[in-house]
Amino acid sequence: MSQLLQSHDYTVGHLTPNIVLYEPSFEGWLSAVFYVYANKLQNDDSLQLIAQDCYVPSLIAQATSVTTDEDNAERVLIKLNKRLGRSGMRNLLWGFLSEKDDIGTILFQAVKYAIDYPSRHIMEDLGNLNVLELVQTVKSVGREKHRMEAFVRF
Amino acid sequence: MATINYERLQGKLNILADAAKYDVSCSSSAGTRRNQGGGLGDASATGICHSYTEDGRCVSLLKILLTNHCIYDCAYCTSRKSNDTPRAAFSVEEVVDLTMQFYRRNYIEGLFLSSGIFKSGDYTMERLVEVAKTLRTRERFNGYIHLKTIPGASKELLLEAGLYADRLSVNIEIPTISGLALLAPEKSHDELKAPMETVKTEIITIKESRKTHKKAPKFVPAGQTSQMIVGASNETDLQVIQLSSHFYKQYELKRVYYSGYVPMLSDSRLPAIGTPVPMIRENRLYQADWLMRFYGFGAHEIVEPDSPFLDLDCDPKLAWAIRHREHFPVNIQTASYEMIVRIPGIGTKTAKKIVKARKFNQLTLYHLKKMGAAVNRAKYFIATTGKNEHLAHLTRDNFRQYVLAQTQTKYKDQRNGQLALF
Repeated sequence: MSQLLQSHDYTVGHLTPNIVLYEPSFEGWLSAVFYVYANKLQNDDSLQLIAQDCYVPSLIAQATSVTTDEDNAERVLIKLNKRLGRSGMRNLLWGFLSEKDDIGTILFQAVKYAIDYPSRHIMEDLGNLNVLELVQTVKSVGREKHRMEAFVRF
Repeated sequence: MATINYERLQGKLNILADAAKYDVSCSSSAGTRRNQGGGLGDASATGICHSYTEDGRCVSLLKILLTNHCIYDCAYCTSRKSNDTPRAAFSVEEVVDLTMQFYRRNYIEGLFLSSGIFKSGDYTMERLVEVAKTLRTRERFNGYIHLKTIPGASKELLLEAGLYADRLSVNIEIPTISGLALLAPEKSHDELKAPMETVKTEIITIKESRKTHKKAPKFVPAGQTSQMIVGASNETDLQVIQLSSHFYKQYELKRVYYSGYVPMLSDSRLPAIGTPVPMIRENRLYQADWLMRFYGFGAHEIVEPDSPFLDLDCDPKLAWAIRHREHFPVNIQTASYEMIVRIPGIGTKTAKKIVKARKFNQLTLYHLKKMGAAVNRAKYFIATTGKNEHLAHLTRDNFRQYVLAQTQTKYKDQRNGQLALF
């Protein structure tokens, strides 16, 4: 630890993973995205977005809680809609509905990719591991929905 | 309307549903799940069969014969004339009633109706068509109806059947002319294929007229299928595959089914009772069928005349790749979709993902693994941008043994045991 403190880097580096907590709703996650971009945290590789109800506090991590803000969420939603289009937004929502523990971070990385490369159809780039995992999660949610409908029929 | 005797009806249902289970043209046969005291529910073996649509929906069908009386004496069929088995026959009204009763109770979504040939092909077909017609017009039934086309039925009856049925099928059963002559001398391949031609022509005609007249009636919207029995006579896989290919090209069938022969009758012309059902061979044939329909393989590529049987140890695509190593390695960054789909371990879905993802990335074996390719097999055949040391094996003499040793076949333990089927 002390070696890191003596590093030559003069900017304030983050020594511990940066965690942003959001309320467990889609608007909550959108607000977290707004928070990250507003505070210029997006380029941190170790950034995680975790829902408040499944967060396990860790000794070394510093976590910040973000309250849900309707207006901020709306702004993010509109911007993402422009970037990703209808099918892309559906992937985000379905991914979110999977309720996987790490989905907040996966969704954020996919969104960041879309913002960094505005002219690409990022949902096609299955070589990007975050996009791939998102697409596979969406597939799995679709199957669950299908099975539920088949069950409820009887 | 005369009151229906339900006890007698149950008796008939037992006989005629049981006799129908050998027709696998609807993807699944009836299963039995007994209620083990204290459990919930009971899946009775009488008649409900589960089929799967292309998008994965499970469709339950009432699968029965109209009658198992038959004037023919085909050696492989339990309903053959010379077999001493209890016979029964439904009336048209009874079948309609059964279907509607089951449908209203949500047991089934459709009907699969076959029949033994009683009196004549026309006589039997007439009744099948009447069942379908009554269901559609009088009962306003909109569920799925699958009718068998009876060989020898007149063209008019076939065309009428197509107006009410979703799918029509006629089973070829024995793939070779000599085999059919031995086991069912009263039938001929031409007679069995004639309805396929009639229906196919009409399907095309109606499709054309629906382009200009939206309200034109539908005709067999789910297409035609057929079935072949495997292992009842001495047919080679080459003959089976060539016949399937012929069906797909000539008659535009939606699917061909392969049914491993289950010895139920003792007859010197057929394999003895106790002969194991050719399960692995059946599976390999389905794999070959898939190669023709979805992977762009021609029948002549899958099985070659000098070795007319499919390899039981490995799947046909891998077998082809090993025989034709000159086509490999395939470079996944640059090769066409048609070539990528020929790589063992890569299916159509993964191939499509590769074609999309390679626009943005240099793909590695790790990417492929995440995408769902069977990298254990594929790694011997793929050229990536980076180095792939597995390719060194490609040119060695023991390549085949090496690859097979690396892959696992689900049949490894079952190869020598007899499998209980029913």
